[in-house]
Amino acid sequence: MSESMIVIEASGRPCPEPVVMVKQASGDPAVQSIVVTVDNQAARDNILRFASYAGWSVKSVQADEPRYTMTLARDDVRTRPDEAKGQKPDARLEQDAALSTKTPAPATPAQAPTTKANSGQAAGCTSVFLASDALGSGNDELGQLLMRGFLFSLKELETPPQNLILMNGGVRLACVESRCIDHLRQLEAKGTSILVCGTCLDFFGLKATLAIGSISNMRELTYILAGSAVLRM
Amino acid sequence: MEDATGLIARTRFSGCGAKLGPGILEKALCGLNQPAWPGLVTDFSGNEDAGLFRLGNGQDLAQTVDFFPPIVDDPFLFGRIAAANALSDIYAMGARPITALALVCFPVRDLPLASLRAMMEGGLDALSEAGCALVGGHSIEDSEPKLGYMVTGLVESGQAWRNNTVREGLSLILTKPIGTGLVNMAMRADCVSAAAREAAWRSMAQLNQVAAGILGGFSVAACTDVTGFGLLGHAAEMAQNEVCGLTLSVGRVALLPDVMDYAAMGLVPEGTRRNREGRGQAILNAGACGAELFDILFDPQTSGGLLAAVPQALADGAVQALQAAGLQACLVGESGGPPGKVSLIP
Repeated sequence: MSESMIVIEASGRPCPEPVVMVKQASGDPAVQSIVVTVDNQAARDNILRFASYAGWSVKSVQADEPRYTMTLARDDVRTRPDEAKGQKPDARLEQDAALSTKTPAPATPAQAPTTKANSGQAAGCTSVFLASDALGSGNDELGQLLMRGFLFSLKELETPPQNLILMNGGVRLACVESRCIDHLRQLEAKGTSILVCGTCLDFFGLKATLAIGSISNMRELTYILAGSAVLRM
Repeated sequence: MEDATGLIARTRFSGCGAKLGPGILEKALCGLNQPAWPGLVTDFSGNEDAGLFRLGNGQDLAQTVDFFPPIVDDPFLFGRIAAANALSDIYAMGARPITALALVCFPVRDLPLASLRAMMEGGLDALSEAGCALVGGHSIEDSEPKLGYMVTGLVESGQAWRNNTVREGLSLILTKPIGTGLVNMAMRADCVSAAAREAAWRSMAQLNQVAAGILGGFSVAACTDVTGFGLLGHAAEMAQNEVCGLTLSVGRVALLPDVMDYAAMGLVPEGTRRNREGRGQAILNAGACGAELFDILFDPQTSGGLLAAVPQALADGAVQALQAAGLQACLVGESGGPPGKVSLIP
């Protein structure tokens, strides 16, 4: 896949149009970088917010008051392990994510399996494993915000993972009080199987409040995890 | 937008987000004087929600005007929200509305007359609920639709609720959740959730009549309504006195659904920034909340709730009574802290 850059001139556009233009461009998996120009600070701040929310890194912000030109680059969770070795390390992904090498060929947009496989035996099966409702440790409020951002970005992927596995505190994400239900619903609509640990739901007394996904058990989940490329956040 | 009645796409700003920033307005009005009319109780030089004029028969006239571009696509709902928003200033003074005049701007070449009709019906619906007579109005042809009302109310002389009469020992009550500006932006960006959209519509279309009626039984010491300057902007106006400031517990403020997400996604209205620049210096300990929540607290509200200060001993009873009436009211802070400042705590 050739890397492509898109240039957006959003000067003169009222908010939220600049952000919407960037969001639309970011939704195209072929686009690897976006150069966007705006003519006010509110639009600049909004685009920087969106970049951090949607998992794009900000490479530069050039100010030529009142114009600002920002260069954004995709931080793609689907980066192939062999490519990742040669890339500039991304601290966030390196710390939080470990790609299992059990299955040598994780899905890329070009080679994603067409079957809705949640069986670990399918070639190129990808699973995302979440054992908490917050991403990382340090501050819970921040962690939950990051998790929402992560799930938002995950559902924006053209080829989202086959399985999303929720265990321990991660099961809260699929219960009625969760603020990520909309993201999960969209993931499910794109073909992701959401599997929720039944023992964990029982432990937290949340079984009756499960809003999305199907209840699974350790045996099934182990089978799937063992046969998938696993992204553990 | 293909939909002939789609109103939002025709305007740059929505609702109270179209308001001139507080900083700009202060510069323009600074030093502007008029004769000291007998009977004039408050005029534009303060930050009151409505002007007060003593009639001499034991009553004061409370007058306000508010109009803005559409914040929803549905013309009936827009009319209702515009009237609820205009009436709100009268309720925030503790007055009762009696008459209203309509102000209409309408792109007669671009929109069907049925839209105008529906806007007026929606407005009349809210005015009738308020027991307020529509006595006339004025219309202009304009490229952007706008609607609002000049509303007149009455209040017993000396009984009006002022907004900068805060003293020690009061609790702060907010009667509606905040975030209508962000929900509107998410609507414009076509990524609003049904839950957020419907909650915002319901909230904006709701009159502050019931809230004001209930608060009237709880010795209100100061009151304002939360509109274009955002919760912190209006709280800062309330804190502008020599006696004491306000302390706001940011975690207690009720939010419309999903607005934290919208703030994190960069769907922050331009008005938020204007509000932050105009009133940010009156806010202490902004670090008590994250950048997203801070933006929500400055989010321009359209037809927002009342922010009322009542004696601490009565506050729980007031909140319970408001909630029993179906309002999403909450205790959001208390009086105290440096005068002129709003101090934030988690």
